[in-house]
Amino acid sequence: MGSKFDGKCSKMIGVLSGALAVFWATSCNQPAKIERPEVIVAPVPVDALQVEFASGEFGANIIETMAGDIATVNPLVNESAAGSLVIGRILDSLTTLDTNTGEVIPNLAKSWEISADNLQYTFYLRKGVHWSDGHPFTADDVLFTWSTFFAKKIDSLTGAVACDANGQPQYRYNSRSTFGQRINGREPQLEKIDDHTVRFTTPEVYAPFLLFGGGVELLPRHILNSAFEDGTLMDQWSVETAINQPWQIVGLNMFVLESYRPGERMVFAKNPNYWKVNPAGQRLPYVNRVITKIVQDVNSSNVAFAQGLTDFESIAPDNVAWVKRGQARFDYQVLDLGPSNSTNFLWFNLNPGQNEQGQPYVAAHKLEWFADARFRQAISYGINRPGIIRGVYFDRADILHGYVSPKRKFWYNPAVRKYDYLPQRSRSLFLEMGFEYRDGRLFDTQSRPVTFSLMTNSNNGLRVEMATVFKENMASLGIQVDLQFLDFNTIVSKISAAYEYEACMLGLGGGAPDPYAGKDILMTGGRMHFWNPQQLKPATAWEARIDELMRKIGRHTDVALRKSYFFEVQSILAEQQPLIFLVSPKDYTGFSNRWHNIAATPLGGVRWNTESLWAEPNK
Amino acid sequence: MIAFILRRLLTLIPLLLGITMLVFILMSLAPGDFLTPVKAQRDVPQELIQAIEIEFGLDQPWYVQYYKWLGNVLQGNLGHSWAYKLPVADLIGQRLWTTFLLSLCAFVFSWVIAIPLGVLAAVYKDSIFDRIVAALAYTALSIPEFFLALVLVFFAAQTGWFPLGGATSLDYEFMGLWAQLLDRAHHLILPTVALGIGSIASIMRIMRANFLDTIAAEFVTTARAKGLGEASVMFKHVLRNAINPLISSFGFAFSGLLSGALMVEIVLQYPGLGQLMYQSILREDQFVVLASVMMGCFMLVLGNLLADILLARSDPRIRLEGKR
Amino acid sequence: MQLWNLLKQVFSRPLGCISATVLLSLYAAAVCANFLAPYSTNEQDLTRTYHPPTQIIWGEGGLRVQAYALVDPTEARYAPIAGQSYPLKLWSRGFEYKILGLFTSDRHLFTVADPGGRVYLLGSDSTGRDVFSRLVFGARVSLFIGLLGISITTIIGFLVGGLSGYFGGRLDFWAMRVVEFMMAMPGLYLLLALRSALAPHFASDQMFFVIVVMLALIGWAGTARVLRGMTLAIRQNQYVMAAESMGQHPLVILRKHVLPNLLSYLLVAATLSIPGYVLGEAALSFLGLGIQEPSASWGLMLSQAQDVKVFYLNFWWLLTPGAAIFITVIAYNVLGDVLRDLVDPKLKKRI
Repeated sequence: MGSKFDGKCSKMIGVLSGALAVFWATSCNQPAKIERPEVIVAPVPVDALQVEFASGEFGANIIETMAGDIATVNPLVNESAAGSLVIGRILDSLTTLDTNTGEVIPNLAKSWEISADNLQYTFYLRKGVHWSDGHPFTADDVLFTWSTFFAKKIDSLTGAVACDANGQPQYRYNSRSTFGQRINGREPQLEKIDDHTVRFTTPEVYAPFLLFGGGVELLPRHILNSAFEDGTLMDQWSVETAINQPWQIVGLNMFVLESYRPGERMVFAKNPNYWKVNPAGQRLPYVNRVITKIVQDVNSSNVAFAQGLTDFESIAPDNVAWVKRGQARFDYQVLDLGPSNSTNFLWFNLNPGQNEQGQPYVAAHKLEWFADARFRQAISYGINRPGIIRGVYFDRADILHGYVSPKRKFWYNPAVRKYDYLPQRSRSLFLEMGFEYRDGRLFDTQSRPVTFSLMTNSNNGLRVEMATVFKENMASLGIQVDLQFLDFNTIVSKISAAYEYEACMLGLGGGAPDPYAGKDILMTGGRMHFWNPQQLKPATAWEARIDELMRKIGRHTDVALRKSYFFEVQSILAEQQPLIFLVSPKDYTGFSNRWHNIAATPLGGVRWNTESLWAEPNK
Repeated sequence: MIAFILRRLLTLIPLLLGITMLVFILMSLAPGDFLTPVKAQRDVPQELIQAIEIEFGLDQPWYVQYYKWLGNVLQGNLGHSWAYKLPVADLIGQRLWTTFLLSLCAFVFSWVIAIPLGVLAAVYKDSIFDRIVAALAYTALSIPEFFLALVLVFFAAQTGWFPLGGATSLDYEFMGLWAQLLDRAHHLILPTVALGIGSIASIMRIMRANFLDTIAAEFVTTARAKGLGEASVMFKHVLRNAINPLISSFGFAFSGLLSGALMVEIVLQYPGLGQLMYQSILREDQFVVLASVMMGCFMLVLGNLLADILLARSDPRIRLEGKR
Repeated sequence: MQLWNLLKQVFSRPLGCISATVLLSLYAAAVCANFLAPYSTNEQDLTRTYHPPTQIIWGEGGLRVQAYALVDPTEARYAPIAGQSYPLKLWSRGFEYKILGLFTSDRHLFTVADPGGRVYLLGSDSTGRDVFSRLVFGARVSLFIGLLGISITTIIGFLVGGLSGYFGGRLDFWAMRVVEFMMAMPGLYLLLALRSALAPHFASDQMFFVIVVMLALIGWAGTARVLRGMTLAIRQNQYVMAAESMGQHPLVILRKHVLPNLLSYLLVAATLSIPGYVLGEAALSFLGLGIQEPSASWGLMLSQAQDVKVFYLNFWWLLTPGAAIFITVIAYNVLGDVLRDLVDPKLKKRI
């Protein structure tokens, strides 16, 4: 062997060892260890809640995946589902829902009294509870949290409260809660009785106050007060904080954020000051850490679970079949939890306004079509929902005839107008509107071809397929639909800020069982009043009627009365179809068999009692 | 030699400037400016938006913007990513390594397999082996990389032997060092194969052709006449002469790897530069798109430069030619 | 006449014959897509999503299509119903289409007359559309983008390369710098950047032409360089110098003397470059940045196959567009090699 060949050999070895070195260098690419302050662990609270599940071992870790990333950890700013999930792990509230019965039960408030006139709610807070950094939790924190919603903007020149064009006071920190916690436009009053007692006075009878008011996520006064005073509250607890100083995000729930790498992973550590204990009096949770890997989409998430890599997963309906195949091999289970809270719907942009250049958001002639209820009804009759369930969802979904999913058996109005797949009815409705068919294409009263564009988010495969089916359904009605598949954030900015689109297909998940939960969507001025967000006055008579009914629902406590109002809301919605509902996928959840104390409920899944879940700590 | 390298580097500068300007012009053709998607988000502080507007001159004509952007780049400020909430420089830094590693592995993989195959095919010219290898080479050259990646994912899903994507496992950080290396290697197998197979084919064909050409050369006849053993002739003389021209294909190989890596990364969800660029295009994260296209071009130009240097080192004629 | 000779020689070689035939049949299929396809591109059937290819059997004196029943809707699993099948009619009536935009016809090569039956030669996709029909219609986009793109590229490349090779001097110098510059950029990255710059200005049905233009803009540099080299060589010939001294206009010289000699090389270069275009369009559509719904293109069909459940539930037929791309590319590569060997074996090093 000549020297040159040795040279080649050594070149090869050089390259390979170089590669090895690169491996090593890239794998050692860990962030610097974060210097965090010493955590003070307070003693177990006097009023600690003792759970009923059998005691278990400490020390296991939960490994899970999350599709989508957070944009902020500030509950006043957050608008994404991922953000709600993360914030909900760290912050806690006065009351919560019993996942078995659906009733409101005590959480951080150990009990409450409601006055005879239903206007005053006195909450008694648990004594001895401390925040995750060891600072004591008192009524001051509750007052502080509510003050962030309703703090007024002070005009720096006059020193008085600033008002907008309509004479309404302007708020300093205009968050979702600012609108959401107002009762019929007025603010509830709050006073501190003592360090562990607060009293709310609602301006009028407001039935769901225990749920919505009590469900507010409490903020730590000792951390956020200075930002509140100097006006930078909305900038706090941003992604930068989560990356560099996660210990600033202090809460009362069972986990705290230990570290965050955007687009990669989040690690939660257990809150050493959590206020629930097991029957043996030991502080919960059993779980040491929750490691959340951020993945692209639901499919990657399901794949990871199906390979036995994660502990808990919500399985998409079209993936259930093959995920179930791995149950024996990877030792997990997939449960069918019945109808879910998720909805899918589409709507037409009814915003009559103009953009900065003076161009209307929706072309005038199209707005005319969209604004006619018969048009929307005709579209609804032309959608093949059973076909979508069969073909796209593999039969694992339910038809949504209206706003309320069949899961909510109590509030569900079975008598609403239903839109079965009846393209003939669509055609007759179009003819009734004065439209005509030529050569199979639909033309309006001015002989313009009926066409519109529909946007939906590209990272939801099932929704993309539904949009494709919708397009074909419309094509057979003679309407041309242009599909636009956009990034989710782009869509959110279009529907809540830019308003320049014609139709959109989206979905919502979650939502509390009380009918008043929908007020953000159903009432005029709500941020989620998709077809015309943040409008100042109802544009139509039926929107005004819905506003009135929703107010009544809020005002009365008699359940039968509320139910009758809500039934009427549903039938108006079904008649007018501002939101054309499509299908609701069923709920499937998977979990690894190594977890003990699993108690699945339809309302809470398997993770509602995470503090009581334990596994052998070998992972 | 040094003079040659310096001369080549000098010609690079106008090239890089030209590329950056072209890409910049392209990006400014897109409607809106770099900050349009951000202004709708509520959690970005106003100060940051205003600071960036001034830094990058976003209200000015495109040549002013380009000038400012260039200045910023030379100082290491590539802008801010809205999707990832990080400075672009940090983001690109992480991803660049990953793509480079993948390209390197594919490169090594293809060479290690292609060269012996090429030699053997030349030595056993026109035999069954040669024909089969030629047919396989055609096939490998013609399969689109993303389709091959799709087929490999299919294969991985059916057999469960390989991960379906990503660069590391979920619990990577909690593994020991050796486990981490093995994990990375395990995740690299499918992308490397998908990326490398096309290269194997082309390198093999060139190797075979070069080998055959060299065998016909006079010095080989001389060596045989001198009585050297066949093995010695083949490996010591022919091979080393045949390999040299292959180095000129280094640059093209690198270019092909870079483009191919983009598709492979997307299909196999491997978090590299290509996938970053694709995601940023979808999300209209303009700074990142600009920076990653730039990076891609730079890597390519550097690859070509490297190829030129290697070639110059082995073939003095090139070095001298430049002097004229 | 040179071309005709060339073609005859191509067909005389076995590899050349096979590849040329394959390509011709593919293009013929694309042109006659309406006739070949039993269903139109967007005909959905939500009761038969992810249906496997239907078996064709012989029975009752004719071709018949096996009937299937949905055994497990949650898995989209179908099983043949023993003894039940639908007659497959040849040269039969189906959906209407226009030939050359003028004549209406509704004849198809084969259909199933029975409304309850379906013939899926290559199965169905996520909304029940026939993969075979979409493949055939998709061929129109995928194959003709290549031809169109290469024509534009060749024209630009010939003009730039020919003129700079012929005139030399400063024009040549700067033209070659531009060419080098174009070749110094990684194609796909540039394609994506171009796409994100140009696409918002065009409607979705104009995307076809936008893509062609983009691919052509990226590809002309390589052709220009080769043609310049060849023009340089041809220019040295005596008859060219004679023509010059006779005072013929350069463009006339280019057309009468240079071009005919270049034609065969042009053909080889074009044939070897078309796969790049086919792959470029496929890659763009696969990423969702190229041809969009409702058109079908092979890349778009493959992107719809990139779903986890497709892999786990083994819906292999959704990957057939990839095979179609592969066959096209390999046919072009083989044909290109054969042409190159015929025209000038010494070209191996240059093209």
